[in-house]
Amino acid sequence: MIIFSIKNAFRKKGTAILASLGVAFGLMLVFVVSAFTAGLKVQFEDNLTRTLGIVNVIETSEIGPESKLPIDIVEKIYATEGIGGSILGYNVETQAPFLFTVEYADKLRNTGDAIALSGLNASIDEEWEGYTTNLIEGRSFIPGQNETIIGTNLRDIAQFPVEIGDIIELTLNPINATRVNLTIVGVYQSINDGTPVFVPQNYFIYTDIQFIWDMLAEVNKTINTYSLVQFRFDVRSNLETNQFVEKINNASENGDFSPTYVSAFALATFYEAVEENLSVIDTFTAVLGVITILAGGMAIIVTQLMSVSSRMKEFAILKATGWKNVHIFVNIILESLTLSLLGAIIGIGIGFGMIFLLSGESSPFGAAPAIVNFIELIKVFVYAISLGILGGLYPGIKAARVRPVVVLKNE
Amino acid sequence: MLIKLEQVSKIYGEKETEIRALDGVDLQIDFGEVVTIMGPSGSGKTTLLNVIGAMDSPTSGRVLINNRNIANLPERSLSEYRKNILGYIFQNFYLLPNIDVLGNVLVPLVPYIIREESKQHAISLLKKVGLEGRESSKVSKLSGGESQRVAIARALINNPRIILADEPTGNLDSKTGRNIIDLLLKLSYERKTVIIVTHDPRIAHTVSEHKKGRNIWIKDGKLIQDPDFDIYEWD
Ligand SMILES: Nc1ncnc2c1ncn2[C@@H]1O[C@H](COP(=O)(O)OP(=O)(O)OP(=O)(O)O)[C@@H](O)[C@H]1O
Ligand SMILES: [Mg+2]
Repeated sequence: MIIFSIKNAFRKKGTAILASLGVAFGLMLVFVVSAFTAGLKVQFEDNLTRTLGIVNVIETSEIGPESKLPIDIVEKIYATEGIGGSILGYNVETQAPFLFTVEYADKLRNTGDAIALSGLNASIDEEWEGYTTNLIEGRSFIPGQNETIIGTNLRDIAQFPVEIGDIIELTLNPINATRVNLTIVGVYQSINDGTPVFVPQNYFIYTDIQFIWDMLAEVNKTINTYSLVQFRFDVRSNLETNQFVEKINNASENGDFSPTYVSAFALATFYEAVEENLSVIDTFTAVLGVITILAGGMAIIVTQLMSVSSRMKEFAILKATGWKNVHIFVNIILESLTLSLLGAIIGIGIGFGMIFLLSGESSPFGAAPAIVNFIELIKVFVYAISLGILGGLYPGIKAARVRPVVVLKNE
Repeated sequence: MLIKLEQVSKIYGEKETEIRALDGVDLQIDFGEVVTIMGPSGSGKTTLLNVIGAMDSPTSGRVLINNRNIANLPERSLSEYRKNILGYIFQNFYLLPNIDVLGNVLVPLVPYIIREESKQHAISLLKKVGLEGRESSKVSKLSGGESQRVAIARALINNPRIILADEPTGNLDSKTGRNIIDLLLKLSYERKTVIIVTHDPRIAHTVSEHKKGRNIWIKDGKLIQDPDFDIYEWD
């Protein structure tokens, strides 16, 4: 019966393939969008897990290089009641002014992109398992050697030499042209936070924190500070993390860290918010699926109605040979399913092509890789089957209702 | 297989415009009989065949097949009856163009599982109608006579007891038509009842010479025992 129906579905090849292509286009859209959504989801899920329990602390109302936390802030936070005992580890960072790297700003990908130079304490970072321990090439910087490590993201887009051994020239004072060189000695694995490529971003390069302090002192005689302190708390959920965030913020408001005021925030909160937005895309995909089913169903109804009308005598014959109504109905449904499943296969085929094309540098979905898992494929086939059945319903009933006597009319 | 019609009428249309395609037909056909139905155009031959073949239901009267009245059975039972008891042969053959000869013979079995023995049966039927070795030919390449042979094999695949043929030779030249009629006559030896609607007096003549052959005449929906007209004038 199945083979019989498949053969019949292609009696009129042109229209059959056209209908399938219509279906294929719709299913392709559903497939591609859901593959990318799945990719984004996994990435945000990853980021959520990776950032679980991490709390960033900066100086209130200041960001980046402007945030200046006294070095003893770490001890003070450890000493705050109800906090210290739950801290698993910490890391510190001092970001240099963007001025230092301003000459590279127009050698990146987008207007607004910048290189952010930041200092790490190599031994603290090692314990934290930070960037200095995530090198995919070369080695970490050695304190006092004017060395730096750059991220894979910078390496991939830089329009200046960024091989190991190449020099990054810092401008300390543009007026008297004071310059210092940093040698690239390693490349760390940068983290894809899902930012779309067209959004301006900072490419972080790291060096020894003492180097940054020395340079800052040379420029404007400041005391040594951190721009960012990160803590990792012993928690199971972002909710718990946020309780610690609140405690730190409350302590600061109480003046516990006076004269400094700090703002704490959980990294995961950001990803959580983004993930919620992804459910909007999910709804969008579902709507797309329904539209595809309706439109594809229409294409199949029209094709099948045309086909059925021209074959009424044939169904009458089949009835004369003992086919039951339900047999004819099932036959038409199988024919529609053939068209819609062919559509699904073509759609998935084209979809894979699209995913391949869109997965490159210029992906509108950010650098997130599309993920094609079993569920996505099943979903496409479920849509295909639904619209095949939907599209075959009316033509099938029409064909099944034929009275066998019509066969002998108009001879 | 006993076929018995009692006061069967089929009326098309309403009051003034009504057409009595069948008008109080009483008829009995025993199994193994070969019967031709002859009559002028529009006399009700096809209607009669349809009523016997459960393709159409009569307006009134009883159609008894082995004492069971099929006149007003629901479609479900009728398809069962058509499948198990009837084989239909048409003037225009109505083979499916996109499948081969063997596939066409097997069409009545498509909704069910087609076993190897069904295939062998189909092949032996093709042999019987003189199409040995043509199983995988395209039906579009067949001549009229060959197509009708495929149709006969298709009508026989369910091993029916009654074969109904509506002008089976209407689209064939007389020599090919003669061969087809010989084939149908042979079926009576297998105790199959064969009913043939025809315009061709030579066919009626051939059938009447057959041991179990008989001719029936119909005019204006009524059976006529002895035609008071010359059947050779009709064409
Ligand atoms: N569906 C229908 N609606 C109305 N009238 C019909 C219908 N089918 C048949 N008739 C009429 O019933 C009468 C008998 O028709 P039928 O087809 O049985 O004749 P026939 O003897 O087979 O004719 P022919 O030799 O031309 O095939 C004709 O007058 C025909 O016009
Ligand atoms: Mg007729």
